[in-house]
Amino acid sequence: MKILECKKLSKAYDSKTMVLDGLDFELEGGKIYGLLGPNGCGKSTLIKMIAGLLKPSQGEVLVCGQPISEKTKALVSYLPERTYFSNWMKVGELIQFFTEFYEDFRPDVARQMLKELGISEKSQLKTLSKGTKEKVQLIMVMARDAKLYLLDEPIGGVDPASREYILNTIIGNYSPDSAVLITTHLIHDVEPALDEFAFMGFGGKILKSGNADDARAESGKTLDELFREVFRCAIY
Amino acid sequence: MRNLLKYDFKYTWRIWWPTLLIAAFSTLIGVLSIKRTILGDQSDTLLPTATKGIVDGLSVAGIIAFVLVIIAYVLIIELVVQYRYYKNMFTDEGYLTFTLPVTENQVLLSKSISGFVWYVITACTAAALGLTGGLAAVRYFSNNWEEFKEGMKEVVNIFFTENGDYAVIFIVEAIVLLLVGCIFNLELGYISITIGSIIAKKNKLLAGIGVYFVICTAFSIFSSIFGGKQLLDIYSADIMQANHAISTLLIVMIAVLAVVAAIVYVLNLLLLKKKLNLA
Repeated sequence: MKILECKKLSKAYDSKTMVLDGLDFELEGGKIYGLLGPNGCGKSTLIKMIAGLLKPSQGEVLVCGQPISEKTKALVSYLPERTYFSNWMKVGELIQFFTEFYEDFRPDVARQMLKELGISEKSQLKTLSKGTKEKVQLIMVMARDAKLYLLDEPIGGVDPASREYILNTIIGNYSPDSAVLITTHLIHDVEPALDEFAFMGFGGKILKSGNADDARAESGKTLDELFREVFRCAIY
Repeated sequence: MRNLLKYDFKYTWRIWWPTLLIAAFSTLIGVLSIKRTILGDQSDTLLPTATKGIVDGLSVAGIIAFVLVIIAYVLIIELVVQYRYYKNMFTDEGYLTFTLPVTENQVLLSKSISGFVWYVITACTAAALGLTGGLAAVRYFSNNWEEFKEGMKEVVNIFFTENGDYAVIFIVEAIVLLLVGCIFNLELGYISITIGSIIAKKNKLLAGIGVYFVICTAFSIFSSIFGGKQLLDIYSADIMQANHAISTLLIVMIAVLAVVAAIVYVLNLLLLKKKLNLA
């Protein structure tokens, strides 16, 4: 089943800058997709349009066959690249908040993950470090039994030691009929988690896409190496 | 919707009750200062002149602080309600607000209802605290509670006798005008923040404040031009005609504010639906 369909999707913030230009993109359930591209190529813009935060200039986004509305927002679990929870809340209140707003939220799963990380429900968000806040955000997002998870740079702001935990959390918590879309430019770190990939160039052009294992087998290279080849970046 | 309201109330509650406590404490200080200033204190005779001067100064300062704190209490809650709207919609928190499975209308309606309730609660409590200070002043000044009560009764009687049936109409119209005025002011603040956030890339809140003052100035000019004739009618008429003119003016003001508030709400909703871009 198609979880996500983007048809001829375009987005311009002003008359001069076309961030996405006629993008066609589809996701099916049961897979983790990596949307990989350099900074500023339109990855976050695409994710925000799917989440309903940005209005497309042209084209259409369908989640489980429905145009973006409060109904699709109930199916999509979105993790932005910045900290977005109200600082005045406690972690426990956040669990309550998610339980009240999302029917698919699993408070027990969230509590278990918080316990594993040693984060107290009594902690006020403003007292937590940026890294811990990001972990709390990820826990809340992944504790939902959503159809589509949109994770915008989920490991961008955390230390290398935490990245493994985050990727394991993503792999271990999405349901088999759901799709996960991860955007990042830290390809080496997310590569082991990906089933499918798409390299996005400037203007939102998909330069290369496919099954991650097949691409590695055919080229004899890792996705990280392929990415550098496609974007002609220097290996360092 | 119920959940949106719950969290909107919860946010303002955290700031409202400590602010109310400070306002109530300042009322207590104010009442004591009024008493001290009007009646003096028997122990004053024992104090040196310089110390008495300081105590007198502190009493006057207590009265001024009481008035300022009551005004600040109203302004703070009004600003908190508007800031909540800005922060919850147009900062990083908007990423959560606009990905909740609710419609833009539910979000705006929730903010409007909770904001209106806080405005009314704050206006009522500020009026009650201000009245407490005012009554204390009159009470201590008259030095005779019975005399004061009689005086107040007489004022009320004159109001009802002179205005006849219009007395009750005036009271009802004034209350409705106050309530509609709260909604109007709230919606005007909200749409100003929305417009400011859409047109400005940086300093969105500042842009919103600018938009608010532009809209308020335009509305003041408009109402001065169209309300001026009504006021002239009131001045030139006898008491019954004047009452009729005042009542009509109040009804027109209520209607205009209600219609403008409704239009502003719908425009704001359209902006949120069509122009919201949380980049």
